[in-house]
Amino acid sequence: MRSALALGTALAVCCIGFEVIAAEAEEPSVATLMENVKRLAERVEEMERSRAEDQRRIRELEEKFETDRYADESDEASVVEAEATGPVGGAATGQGNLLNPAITAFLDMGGSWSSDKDNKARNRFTLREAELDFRAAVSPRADGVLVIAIGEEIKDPFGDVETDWEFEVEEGYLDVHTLPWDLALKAGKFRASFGRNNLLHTHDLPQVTRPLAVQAFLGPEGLATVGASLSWLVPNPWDRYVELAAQVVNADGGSESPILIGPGAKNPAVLSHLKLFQDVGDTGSLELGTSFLYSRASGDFDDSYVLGADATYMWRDPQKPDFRSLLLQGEFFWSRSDFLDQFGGIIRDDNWGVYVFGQYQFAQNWYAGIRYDYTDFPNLEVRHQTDSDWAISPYVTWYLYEALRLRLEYQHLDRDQMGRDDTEDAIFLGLTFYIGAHPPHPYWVNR
Amino acid sequence: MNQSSPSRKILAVVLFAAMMPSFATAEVRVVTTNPTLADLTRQIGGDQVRVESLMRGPENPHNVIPKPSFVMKLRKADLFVHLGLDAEPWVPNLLRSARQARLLSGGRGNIDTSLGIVLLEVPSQGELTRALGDIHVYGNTHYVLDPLNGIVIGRTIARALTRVEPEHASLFDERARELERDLRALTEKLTQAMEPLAGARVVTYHRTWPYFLKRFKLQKLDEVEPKPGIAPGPRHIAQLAKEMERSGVGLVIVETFSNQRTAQRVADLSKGRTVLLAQEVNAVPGVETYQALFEYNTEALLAAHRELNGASTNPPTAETTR
Repeated sequence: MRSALALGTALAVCCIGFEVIAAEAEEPSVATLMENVKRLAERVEEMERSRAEDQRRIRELEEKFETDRYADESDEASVVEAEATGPVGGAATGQGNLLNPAITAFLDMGGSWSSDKDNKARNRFTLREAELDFRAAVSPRADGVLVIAIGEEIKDPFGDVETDWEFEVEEGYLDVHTLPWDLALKAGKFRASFGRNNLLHTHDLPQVTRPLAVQAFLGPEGLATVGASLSWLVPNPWDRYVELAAQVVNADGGSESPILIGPGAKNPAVLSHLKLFQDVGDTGSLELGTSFLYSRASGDFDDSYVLGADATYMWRDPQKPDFRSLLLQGEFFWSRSDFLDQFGGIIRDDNWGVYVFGQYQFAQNWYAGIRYDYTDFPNLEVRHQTDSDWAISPYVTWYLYEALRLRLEYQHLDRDQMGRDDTEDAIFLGLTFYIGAHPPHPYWVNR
Repeated sequence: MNQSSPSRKILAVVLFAAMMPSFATAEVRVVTTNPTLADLTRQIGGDQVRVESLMRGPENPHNVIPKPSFVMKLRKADLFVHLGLDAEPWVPNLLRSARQARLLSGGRGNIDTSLGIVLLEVPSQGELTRALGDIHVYGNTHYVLDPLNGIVIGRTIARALTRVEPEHASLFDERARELERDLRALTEKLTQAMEPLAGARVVTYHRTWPYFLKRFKLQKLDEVEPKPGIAPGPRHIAQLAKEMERSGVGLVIVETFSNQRTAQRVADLSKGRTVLLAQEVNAVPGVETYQALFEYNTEALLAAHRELNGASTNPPTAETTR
């Protein structure tokens, strides 16, 4: 390259020389000659400058070439000093979408086969729920969360089948997750902190169906209403995880909840949850909780309240943590509500319900479990205090991929309704998947 | 009264002595996501730090369960050291639950060790979809497996410790330099030791090893997982084994969180052998420091290589170490 440049320069000088000689032949005056010599000197100077510039650029390119080769050979200096030879980490954390919220869309579909041929909600395919989940930071210490659910609803399961799509803001709240004194605040609509199962969205349920007691005490899809929640990590001398949550929520918003009944309910209802967590050994953990929900008198109801207790034990094989695990969970509900009978007397209605399940992971992507359910029906508008259901439901879960899960559940249900005994055997199939950002979920939910 | 005064003096001395450690060892409390970062922090921080790792060695860093007890560890931490990028998807939620402003992303105590690391396998735009498996959007996250990246991480940690304990700045700086000297010497020694394997091709189970392979001049033929995080089917295994035999490749590198049986099946079919390597400090027994990790991994590879070529006995392999 250098020699080519030198040759070019020599040629250029020759050409200029020839021009000068030609001019001289035409008009050989001393003044013209001097003028030509001056011009020639200027042009040579200019070419020297340009050549120096070229030389400098060549040196730069050679150096860069050397550096790149250095980097290709993974030389220590280039890696360690992090020359700009490749993308460099440290720019970001997590899988956001730049300033857009992290977006996840869930689909929860399936179907059922049941011995109950009268129930029109059975023996059909369903698209149980489509859910859109948006999350982003609102400020350094607060996140905004919006969860929109669109679910298929069967208007009257025992009449003519008529389906409708129910559109709902399932959750929409400001989550001020980091406050002084170990506090956190939520405001908006959120799933109530009652027990463990109620915090789960339908697509996160360990089984296809929600436990019967949760449905009976908190609502078919659990309890979520508008209000505010304050949670506190309670300092304690044993340095254990103790969290106390107090929530004040609308009582009239939870029309599907048997406890927060109807439009006549008085606001607000009060909830609280106390959670204790303890590691057990290297890879096990135990969580215990108690919950309390209080709703004030409304209409012909006196005050009602529900007490809950929950326990979750989790274990992972220390050698094969991704392949073997065990999850045991149980929740107990007890409620008391008083209401006036038609003669002005007070009838006391106490009810209880429970579910327990055990689930074992027997391969990397396979889980098998069994759930037992018993529940009374608290505070129903039709007050059949003796009604109760119990059920046993073995199930298996298969994660085909991280984002795609298949669940199969068999349920034997025994109903004691208006003094009549009734059984139902059903098989539920559930297929759930998500697209978009990896969604957050409680630690004990598989993935 | 007079009789009791000597015992009072003793009591006072004992009480004072009992209180002393709290003054003398004003340690920086550091929580790291994994044991590898914990060891590097220990090497830089020495007696001036108390380090705890959230994750255990054999675990898959992508699938850690962020238990509430982690929150208790973070509450008292001055620094939280993590891999950054999208290596540990459980971290952002954990930090939200910890309620400590200093540890949040961008906070003084949030130390991202990917800072300044030259990343490999950075996906180009338009490639980001789950059809490619569990890909990492910023690039491969297993950068601790290049011993020279340990130098960069060491410096990042030294800078972070200096911010908390400026009076020990020169100490942290000197230890970072010492770590650098140590890791450079180790790398040179091990690269030389690995000469018999230079340019050799291997199969890896997960996409854990690009930094390690590049540093020690190994090449990757293929992965056991057809795509990151996706378990291989029988056809993929058979094809891979055939390809290994055709190419004369016999080593299958497997990490502790991957399926050892599947790796063994690939090795059996291809008449090769599996080598269980430590992807993390404490992933396998005896690998207790960052330096020991590379010593162990290179020895295991050399031993397996020798055995494949019929010249050695009892190399450390998946079967003997599990």
